[in-house]
Amino acid sequence: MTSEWGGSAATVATRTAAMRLDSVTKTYGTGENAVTALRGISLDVPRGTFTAVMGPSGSGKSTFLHCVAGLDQPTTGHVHLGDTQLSGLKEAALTAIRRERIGYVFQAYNLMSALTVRQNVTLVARLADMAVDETWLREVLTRVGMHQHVDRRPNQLSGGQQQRVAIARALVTRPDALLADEPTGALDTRTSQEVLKLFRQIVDEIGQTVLMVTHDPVAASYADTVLFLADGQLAGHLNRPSPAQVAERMTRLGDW
Amino acid sequence: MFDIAWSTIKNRKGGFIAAFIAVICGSAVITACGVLLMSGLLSGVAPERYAGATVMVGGQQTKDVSQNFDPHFPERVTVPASTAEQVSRVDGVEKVVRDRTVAMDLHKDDGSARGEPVRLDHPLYGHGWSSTALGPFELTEGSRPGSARETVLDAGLAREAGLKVGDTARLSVGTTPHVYRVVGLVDAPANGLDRQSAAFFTDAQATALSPRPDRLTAIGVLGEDGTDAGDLAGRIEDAVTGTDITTYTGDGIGDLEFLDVGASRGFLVPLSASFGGTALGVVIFVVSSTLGLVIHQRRRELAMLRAIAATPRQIHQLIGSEVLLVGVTGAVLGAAPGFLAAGLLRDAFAHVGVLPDDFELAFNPLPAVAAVLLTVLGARLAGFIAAFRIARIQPVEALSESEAEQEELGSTRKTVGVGLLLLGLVASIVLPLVIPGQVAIAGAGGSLVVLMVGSALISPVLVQAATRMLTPLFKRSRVSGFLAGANSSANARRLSSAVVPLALGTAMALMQLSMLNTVEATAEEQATTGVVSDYVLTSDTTGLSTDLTSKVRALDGVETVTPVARSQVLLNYIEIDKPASNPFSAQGLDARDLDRTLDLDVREGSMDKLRGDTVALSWIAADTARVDVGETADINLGDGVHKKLKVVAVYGNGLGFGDVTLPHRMLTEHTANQQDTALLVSAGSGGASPQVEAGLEKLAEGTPGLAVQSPQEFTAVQQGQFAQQSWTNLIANALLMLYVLIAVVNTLVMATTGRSREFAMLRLIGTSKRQTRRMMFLESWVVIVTAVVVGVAIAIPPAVGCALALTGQPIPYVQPLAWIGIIAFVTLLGWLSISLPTRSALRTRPIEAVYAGE
Repeated sequence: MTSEWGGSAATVATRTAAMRLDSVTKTYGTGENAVTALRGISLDVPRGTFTAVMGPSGSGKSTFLHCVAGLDQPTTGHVHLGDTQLSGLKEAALTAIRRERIGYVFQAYNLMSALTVRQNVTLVARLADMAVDETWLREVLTRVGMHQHVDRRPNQLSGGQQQRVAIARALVTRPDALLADEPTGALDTRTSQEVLKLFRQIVDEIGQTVLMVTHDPVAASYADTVLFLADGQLAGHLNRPSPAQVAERMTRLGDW
Repeated sequence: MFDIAWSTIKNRKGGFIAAFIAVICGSAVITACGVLLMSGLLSGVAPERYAGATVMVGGQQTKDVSQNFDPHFPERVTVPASTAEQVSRVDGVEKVVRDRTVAMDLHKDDGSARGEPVRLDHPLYGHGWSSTALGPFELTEGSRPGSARETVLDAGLAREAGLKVGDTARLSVGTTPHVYRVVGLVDAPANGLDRQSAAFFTDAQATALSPRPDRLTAIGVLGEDGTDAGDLAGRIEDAVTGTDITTYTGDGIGDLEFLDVGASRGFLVPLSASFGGTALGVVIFVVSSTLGLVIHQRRRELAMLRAIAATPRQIHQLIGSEVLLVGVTGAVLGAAPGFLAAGLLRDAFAHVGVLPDDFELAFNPLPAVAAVLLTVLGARLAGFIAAFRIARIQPVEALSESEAEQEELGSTRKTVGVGLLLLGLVASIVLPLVIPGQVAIAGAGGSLVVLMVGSALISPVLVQAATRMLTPLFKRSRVSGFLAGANSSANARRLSSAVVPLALGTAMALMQLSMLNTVEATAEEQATTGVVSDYVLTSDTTGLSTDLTSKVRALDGVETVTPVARSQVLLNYIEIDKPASNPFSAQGLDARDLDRTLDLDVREGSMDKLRGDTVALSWIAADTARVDVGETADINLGDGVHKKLKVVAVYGNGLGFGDVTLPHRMLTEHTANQQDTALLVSAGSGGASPQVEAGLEKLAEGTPGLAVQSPQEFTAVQQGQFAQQSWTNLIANALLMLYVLIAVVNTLVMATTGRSREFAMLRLIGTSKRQTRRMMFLESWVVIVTAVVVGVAIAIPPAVGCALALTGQPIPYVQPLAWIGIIAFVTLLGWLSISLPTRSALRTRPIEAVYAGE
């Protein structure tokens, strides 16, 4: 089930894949109540690219992202992060991978309300008992535009600012991949744009790999490649599309 | 980790303050138990009359019981007079004093034969003159007693009674009057004389007054100069034959002089140990339910932590650090009020008479240290339990679960909950049917905790059931009722954490009250219906002299006189699998024509055979010791003398009259005073007659302290140890209930305050303040109704079980007003704890509340 995307994967295979999925299926429950969320997905996400995953509700977007992040285990198939195979790893090892090699940005509630911006950003390093690279920390905070607010607490920040702090936290460990689950879902249009431009910037300027799940065609249009998911399968892709192209493709996939 | 924990605590003061308060109060409760325990182990009273002795030789006042608490003998263990001879031959002994102590009453000469009683602040004891060497008492006025009719008083007593040298003093022993001339006064010894008054007679007169001339109260030893008290005591113990004799030195002498102090310790140690255990359990329970709520309110944040980087261990570490900070601070702060609480408990125990009024607590830092350690450990355990679920689940589940409450309870939780409920039912009701006696009473009482934990586990289901029950009522209000119903069924878990402490408080209060009422009501009923005599003779002196019986029998028209003496005995038996020895109230009586004066409700055997080495037992005592008519009961009499007695009868009225009934002489011979408590007098078949009454009145006029009463007046029941035990339990539990009360308010306030954002949202979408308040009012009813129903439901089986174990009837005595009062109080408390925080939360402008953060 490699579909169209499987063919073009060869064209980018010259570059090392940051993530690779190999016939990944995911089924919840057993017997009659079984729900299949993913039906054999195989793909490579090249390093240093910005990929958006789109699909209507129930297409398996979130499950897909959870499997890539090691938050969830595929029923069959394999997920590789760089050279590391995630499937079969123990929870402790997965936690270590999440904290060291993956940056994760949620739709909301990304931050601990008790901690300052700086404390939130260095939280992962603290949990992993790693030293904080101060130069890099400063650069990351400057890049997301939060360097002047390091001592504020989340409730003193706007939604967009909170999301930028979350991105800083995801970047500060220099992860192999930054995964974002509807990162602009709770933001207004203007603030969304700021966040999406930030993603584009970190891909272009520091070569960060970003994989983003969204249902917003405008958000998807910032990506290098947009993958379409329908009914748990890949249903084509677009390179550097315009929002209109994305919207048009989505309409064909069904409601979103 | 501690700095994150600290920031979190600072940022979420509301939630943590609740846990903090729970820990402070918990630490206070445990400290109080610790202080009582330490006092039981250490506290003593300095000797007064024996203050000058090097070593005192006396009876062994405790019984050695392997693997169990050593009980104290209720009466003084006396020493054979011959022992003094053995002691005097020991190296280093300069002088041996044969001390005799006789309880007395002082009457003033008012011209009548009866005399006018003088109320003294302390008990008055008479001794031989040679005992003054032990104080030492110094003669300050007059001379030492030279004849049997002369006495020397301690100066304090003379002052209190208004007597001086040359006056006449009437000093009666029981109801036997003696008249003496005061020939001198002595000064109290260096330690003062604060717990007693003393009168001294010639040694010969003291021996004559003593009920057992062949026995001594104690033997005082004055050592030669430079003799070490400890060494001397060791040599004396080697020289003396007989195992029940022991030596006392230093402050330990106070234990020999004042038996009530030793008895208080025997009472405090097991009580505070068992109460401390319960308290620790309740503290863990309350703290974990409070922490559970704090953690519940920040599940989303913890789920996020799990998803981005934290291992389950780290979640535990984070929560553990928070708990440690809150726990240590709270526990340390709570220790100080704990000493205060111990003082209050002491006062209450002294008030019901289980501790002497001047019993002093031993204050040292050890209970506080132990309480801090236990509370912190308990809080850590509670935190671990509360964090267990959130830390264990997969991060994806955590993220999705945190959005809405999970519908179903885990099946393990349900199974364990139902299992505990069944276990509690069995322990409370089946146990008293199968093995009655004290084990059953303890089992029924303890089953409340099991039932509580069981219902706590399935409480969300109960809340949902209550919601369904109340839904028809809710439907009458279209907005508030709809919202309240939806909230209650969707957030059953959150609601149940408010229900649990409220139900616990209700159940504890109801059960303790019902147990106390059942005991008191049954004892009173037994006592009033049990005395079938026409008259009862009692005395306000130490007791009725035994020669009074024959005087009353000689009166015209008197047919039956039953002397009744009261004391306590130890009943020895195997409790489940280890030896136990417990005090039971006992009476000694003359069983001749007993049916004319006393109805003990004999169930088996016959009281007629109560003579010689026999005993009759109440069915509770018989079941506790597992002996039947014809079998042998193993008993230590009041002064420790060991007897194996054949059981001749089992009777029902044990609560009203005492659980052990012995032949009259056997009981009195082993009490210190050897006097009767009451004489039950019946006239001929015609019942009360003026002739008998006149005879008795005439006797009373010539006898100090004697009072003639009708059986109706004689309801001054000695309710046996169960009533006192119930009071003791009630006092101890009052402290626990206060704790639960604080926990209830705490939890409800916290749960309500945590919803201010939700209230704000409701207001923003157009719900009026009134509708929101009404919604919370209806929700509070779900909480209160569930709590009261659960509380009453789980209080009933233990109450029924206790009634079964105490009276044989499965009907607990219920004071409807008291039950209604408790339920009303719980309702009011629940309602206030929800409605006040709701009002205060609604005072903020909604738009600010929405953005105020989580």
